[in-house]
Amino acid sequence: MRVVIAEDMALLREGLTRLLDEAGFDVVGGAGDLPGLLELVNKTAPDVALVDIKMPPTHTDEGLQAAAIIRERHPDTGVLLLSSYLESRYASSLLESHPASSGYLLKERVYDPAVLADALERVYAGQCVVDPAIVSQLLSRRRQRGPLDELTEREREILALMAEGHSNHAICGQLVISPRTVESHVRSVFMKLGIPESSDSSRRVLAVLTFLQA
Amino acid sequence: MKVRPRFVVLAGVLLVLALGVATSRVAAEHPDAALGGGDLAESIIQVGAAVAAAAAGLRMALDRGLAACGMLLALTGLAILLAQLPAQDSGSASLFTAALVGAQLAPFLAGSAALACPVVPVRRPDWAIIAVSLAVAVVIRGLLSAAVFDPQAAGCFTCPANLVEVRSDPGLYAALGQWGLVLTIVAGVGLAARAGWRLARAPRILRLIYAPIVVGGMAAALLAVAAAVHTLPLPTPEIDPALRTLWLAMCCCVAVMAGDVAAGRLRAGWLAGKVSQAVLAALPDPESLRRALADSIDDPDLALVFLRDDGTVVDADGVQVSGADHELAVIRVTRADSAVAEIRYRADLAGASHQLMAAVRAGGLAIEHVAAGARLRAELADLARSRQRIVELGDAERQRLERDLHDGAQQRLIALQMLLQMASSAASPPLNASYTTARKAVGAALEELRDLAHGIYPAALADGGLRTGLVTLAETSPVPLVIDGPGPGRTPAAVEAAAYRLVADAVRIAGQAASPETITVTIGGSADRLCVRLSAAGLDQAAGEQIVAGARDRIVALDGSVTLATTHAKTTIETAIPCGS
Repeated sequence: MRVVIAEDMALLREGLTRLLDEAGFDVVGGAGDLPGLLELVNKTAPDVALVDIKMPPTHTDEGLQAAAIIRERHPDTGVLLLSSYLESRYASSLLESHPASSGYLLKERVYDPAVLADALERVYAGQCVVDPAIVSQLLSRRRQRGPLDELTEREREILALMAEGHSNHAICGQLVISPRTVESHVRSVFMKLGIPESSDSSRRVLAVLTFLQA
Repeated sequence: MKVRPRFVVLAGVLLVLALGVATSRVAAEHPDAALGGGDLAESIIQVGAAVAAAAAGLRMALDRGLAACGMLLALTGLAILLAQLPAQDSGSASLFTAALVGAQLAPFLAGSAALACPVVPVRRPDWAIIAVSLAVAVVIRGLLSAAVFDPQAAGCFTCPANLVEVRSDPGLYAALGQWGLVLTIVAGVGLAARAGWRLARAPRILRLIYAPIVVGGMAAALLAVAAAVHTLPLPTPEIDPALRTLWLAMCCCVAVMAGDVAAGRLRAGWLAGKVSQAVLAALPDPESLRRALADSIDDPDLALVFLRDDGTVVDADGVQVSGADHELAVIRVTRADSAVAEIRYRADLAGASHQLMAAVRAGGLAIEHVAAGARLRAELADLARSRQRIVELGDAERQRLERDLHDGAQQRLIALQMLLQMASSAASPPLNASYTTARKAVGAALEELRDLAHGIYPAALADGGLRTGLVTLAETSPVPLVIDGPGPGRTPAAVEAAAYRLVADAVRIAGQAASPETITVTIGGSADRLCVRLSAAGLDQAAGEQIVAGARDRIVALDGSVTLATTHAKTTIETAIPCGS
């Protein structure tokens, strides 16, 4: 898998490069700011761009801007955002502007090559990935009754796993249930959340967005 | 040493009085030869007019702006006495000569005083007319005539010697006399016309105050014109009853001019009494005090402003105003050597400033009272501004700290965590365990740092505004938090932060309650004013008071308001914070 890395802190950028190299990824370039990243993506057309959300020039949401631009110019390139904010707002903005092949991972998780590699693989596979910490925070939040309350305990569990970017097949493995059971649960989730018929992947994104914004 | 003004006036008056008694005695001996006659009534008219003119003129001369007019009036008094001397038989040679030179001066001086009266600013043409008129009187009708006048040749054998005689030339003397009369007519009409024109153009209050001086001076000049017209056809000039009547009338005019000065002082005193009454009735509000001062000088736009210790000028509400316009005249009110107030009024009314000054003196206490109020209000406004600035600076500082922590320390710890992980994967098992422990410690530090940064200033609030901040707060809220209303969009950071903290406090306090219930926050308002209503069923009165107490200082510092209402175990807190500044 060909990966580019955009991170303004050189130490982290080099560390990530080494980590991914060792994990068998093909790191084709690194950039320290938004224009550098866009140029790099233009030149190398990578499979996935690993992007820090805050970069020069403004240190605000360059990563989100990059995701929107890359989605428009290079629809085949996935975007995995790195951020230190344990908040859902960036993840929902990302999924709105870059609905598939995208992910939002807490930066402090990148020390673990397995987690990072797993997230990159799933983004590459076209899934959307939301950091488990955010998913569990949203699951445990206290809120008023809403569409999510229509779901059964099991269906909520499956929706959370979908948000983390797991495929139906992976969910089977995690919950030790049959693929048919998973599929019927997923259909039920789509129906209860009122998500219209369309391709499976875009329905998954809509379901995750409903989960993030509930 | 400072000479007290009233002594100057008194000395001048006594001098003129003594001179008047002396000339009256001479005139009484030769009543037919004296222009004004010599009986008691005639002497009283002349000496009375002279003394009054001297007193009034000297008093006026002490006031800035009235000095020229006053000096001319005082000199008129002296000149009346010179003309009271009999043309012959004046006794001493010096008196006789002085009478020869100065006898024609009085009406010209009176007319000049009228012209120099500052009903409108005295300009160069005015001075030119005054100079020409006085030159006609002193040079043509005075010195030049006297220089060629020989009393013996004219048939006056009892006359004392003419001290300024150059040569005896009766022909030239007669010719100068004729020309002098013609020039007197021209100069007199000129003085009166110009003075009248000036009076017509004067502001109303100045016309009222100075009309007697100007009209009296005009009349005196015109009476001199009448006397000249009367004398011109006569083969030999001599004193007849008509001329005497005209002269005495002229003296009366001068007396009227002097009387006006006394009347002016009485009027100012009366106005001062009115102002004092207003002060005594009640310490006035600034506007009625200003109106009273404005009335005293008939300038409805008169401004009363107050000076602060730092030199800035404020109005009665304590709001800073600009410095005085150059077009305006200014009177400063001082107390204990420091200026407390400033009165600004139309510069063309400066001639009536003594009335305003009298009113200011009478209203001193009230002005000080109003000034103290204005200065206090300015002080309060300063404090409110600085309190607001402190809150704003505090928020800016917190935002900066949050960014520094996030972009600096947090990123370095993340890098450190990664370095530890890479080192541990390459190390031997015992070392590996230590590395893993260290990495976990860094992970814990990162978590604490994230909470700390979030507590200092939530990034969602800084980046996305109040609504985004609150929606993000709801993700970790211990009670259900519902955010309603679109809100007015971005407002100043300090305003957003104050509203955010109110809600965050409510969430924290509600989370401690036994049975947490939903908190609903409605964001409303406009670009000028952020309004937030928070209602919670699970909060009691005491909890509501605790929330409001924590938020009030910030909100009030931003000039906003916060209210608490509790009904049926439902607490509603409303806040409105203005965004303008």
